[in-house]
Amino acid sequence: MDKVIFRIKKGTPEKWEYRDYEVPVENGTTILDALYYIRDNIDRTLSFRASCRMEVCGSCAVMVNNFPRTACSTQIKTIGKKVITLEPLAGYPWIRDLVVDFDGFFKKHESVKPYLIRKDNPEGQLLQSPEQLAKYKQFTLCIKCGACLAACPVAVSDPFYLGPAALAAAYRFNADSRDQGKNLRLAVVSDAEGCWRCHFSSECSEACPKDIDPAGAIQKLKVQAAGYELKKFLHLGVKE
Amino acid sequence: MSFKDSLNWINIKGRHLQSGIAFILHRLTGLVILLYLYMHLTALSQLLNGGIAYRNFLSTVESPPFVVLDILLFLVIFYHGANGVRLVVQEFGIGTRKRKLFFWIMMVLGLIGWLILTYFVVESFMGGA
Repeated sequence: MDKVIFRIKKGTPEKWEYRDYEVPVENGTTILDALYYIRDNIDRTLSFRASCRMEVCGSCAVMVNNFPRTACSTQIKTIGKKVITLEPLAGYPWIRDLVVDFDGFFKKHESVKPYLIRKDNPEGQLLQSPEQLAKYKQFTLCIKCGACLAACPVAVSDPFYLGPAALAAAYRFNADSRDQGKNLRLAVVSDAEGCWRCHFSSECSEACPKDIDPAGAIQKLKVQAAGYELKKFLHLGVKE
Repeated sequence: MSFKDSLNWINIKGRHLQSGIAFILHRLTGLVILLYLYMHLTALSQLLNGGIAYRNFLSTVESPPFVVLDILLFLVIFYHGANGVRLVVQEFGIGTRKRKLFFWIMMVLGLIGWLILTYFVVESFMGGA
């Protein structure tokens, strides 16, 4: 069995250090397995967040060698390093060890109205064709792990930027044929700290563990927002 | 937000060539082009000192070290232009999944353009020397 050194940023914003832990690794061992090994056998004070262990809950994202990954779905041997550095997610207020504060992330997400908005009160099912579903389906897979925001060079240097996850969620509902709240969302995201702050570095799409393309969603949102702003500018009557 | 945080965009650690590093290079080359614009306008303002002073200034900048700097400046401009065209296309939501392919197509086209221009600049300089 191979051994890998985990260099973990340990402590609080006031007092911290990098601490090394040696962990036995075999094929299939994940970073989350290693974190549990460290906590059970070496350092009971190590703090990290995890829940489902199967890339569904989105709790365990951390910076692995400076790149955000979900710990549960990252196999150590695929990284191919003998020393792996683990740090809390970039761009979030750091609490301690590998735990960051997600309040701001979820508030940004909530601000884009990530739910179906209907003006009427329909009875029965709202039917949708496979083609209509395909327009937004990939974005429904988002697990809110926050890796996209940690990878984004704009989000880590501008805390007010809505970020890829929230903007992709806005696009997801705007692209849903059952939704009638497109302009309400565009009023929120067509802003200097909304979709126009994205400069298409596209690191968010590189980082997404679910292989979603938030960078693509934001660009499509920009096209929608440009039409929305043009209509407003020409006084063509934008209905909220 | 601290000043250090505001510079996080420039951190290349963990970034991908066709994504984060291309973004950083685009910003830095943009700053170089902006700086060059000011230098260019300052150079043109030498005309205010009369034709002789301007020709003397030109004879200084038409020397080999400045030609090398010009060629490097073309490289910066070609990178910024080629990557800029890619960004314009992709910001319409076209080919956002094919980031690596789009990036390398534009880089090859930019490099070809730069090599052709460099050839003509060097030929013109050697012919005139």
